[in-house]
Amino acid sequence: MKKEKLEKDIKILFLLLILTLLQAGALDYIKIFNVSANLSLAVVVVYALLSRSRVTLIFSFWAGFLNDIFSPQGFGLNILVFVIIGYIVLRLSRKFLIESLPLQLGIISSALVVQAVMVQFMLSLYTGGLPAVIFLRSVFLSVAYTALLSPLAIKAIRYL
Amino acid sequence: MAGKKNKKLISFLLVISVIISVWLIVPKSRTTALDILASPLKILHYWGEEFKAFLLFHYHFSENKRLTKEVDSLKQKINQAQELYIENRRLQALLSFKSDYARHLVAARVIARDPAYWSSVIIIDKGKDDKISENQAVISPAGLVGKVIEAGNSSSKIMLINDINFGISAIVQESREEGLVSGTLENKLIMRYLPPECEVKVGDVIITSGLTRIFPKGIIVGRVSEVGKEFSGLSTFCLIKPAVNLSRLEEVLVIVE
Repeated sequence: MKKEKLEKDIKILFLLLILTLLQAGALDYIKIFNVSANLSLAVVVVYALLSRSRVTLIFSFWAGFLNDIFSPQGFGLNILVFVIIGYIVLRLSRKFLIESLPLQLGIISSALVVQAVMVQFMLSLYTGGLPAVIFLRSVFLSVAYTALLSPLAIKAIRYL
Repeated sequence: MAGKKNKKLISFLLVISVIISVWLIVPKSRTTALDILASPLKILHYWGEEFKAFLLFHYHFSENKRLTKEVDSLKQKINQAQELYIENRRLQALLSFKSDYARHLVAARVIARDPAYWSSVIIIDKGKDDKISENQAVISPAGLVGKVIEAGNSSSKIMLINDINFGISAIVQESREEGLVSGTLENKLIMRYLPPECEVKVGDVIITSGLTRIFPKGIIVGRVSEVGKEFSGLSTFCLIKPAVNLSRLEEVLVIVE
């Protein structure tokens, strides 16, 4: 049982690595108005909702680390944001049983908005942040795009 | 009770050690991690290109025909330019002018992009092994692309000119007025601090001024697409359409001095 669980966790670590590489490489071709879907965050949130396991925090750290490799900002920004979101969703999933798809998509979208607000706040400390119009437009597109692809993330986690 | 206290203490120490490792140890390994990820990214990029070539076969076929015709006319122009270049060199020698810098270009392929939308960064497949280091200018035959912000051994991170953290001194080619160009994260740049009475107009070419040390003078940044007055009325700004299509970059040149 433990071995199976470990195998599943390793598979999810690989899934996060592949998704980040795809987001940085191949998925660049299917950006919508310069915005791509944030699949690694979707996977972290879906895992937290479905498994309600503390391992979510390790996956959050890993996903944040992978995103930080490509980022020009100070190292640790994505790690911090991903771990905080992972922790919040984990607490939420332990209090309520969230099984309906619309609700799951709603939580993924909320996580994306929280991530955007946190990044905008941190960037504003150093560079003044993004202009409001660009920020709102990008958040809206990113949420819509990710929500559209999230059922795939849910299926992938269930399959693994 | 004591067991619960111990558990809390262990959790606290674990969190502290993770934070310390993140802020102190991990940043140093970022370029190494990028180098490691560069190999799978190169493979992904290769297959992506193959797939694209397969999909766009007919388009490439007709494009090839059109370009072959264009090459013939360009060959003639190159001959003329060569003549002018030789004449220019001869006149420079007569006037005892010295070249500002010796340019050495390293060609690199774009293998990835930062997935986040709040920055504009690309990853190229060349690094310190090819004499690339931080703060080197990156161009393409069409114009300015950005600058190197991080260099690993076999890969580097480039900040594009449309990133909001990017800033460069530039001049309007015709009127020679100077301003500061910065990114907007969209497919346009903004040039600020132009004098209120400046004569900049739509279609004017913007080039680097040479005042930002890493960027040689005369590299094309883009063309003016819109002109406006700042709210304070103290200066003019203009929006620039970059000369390079930043969202479809495939190869770049790094200026290695």
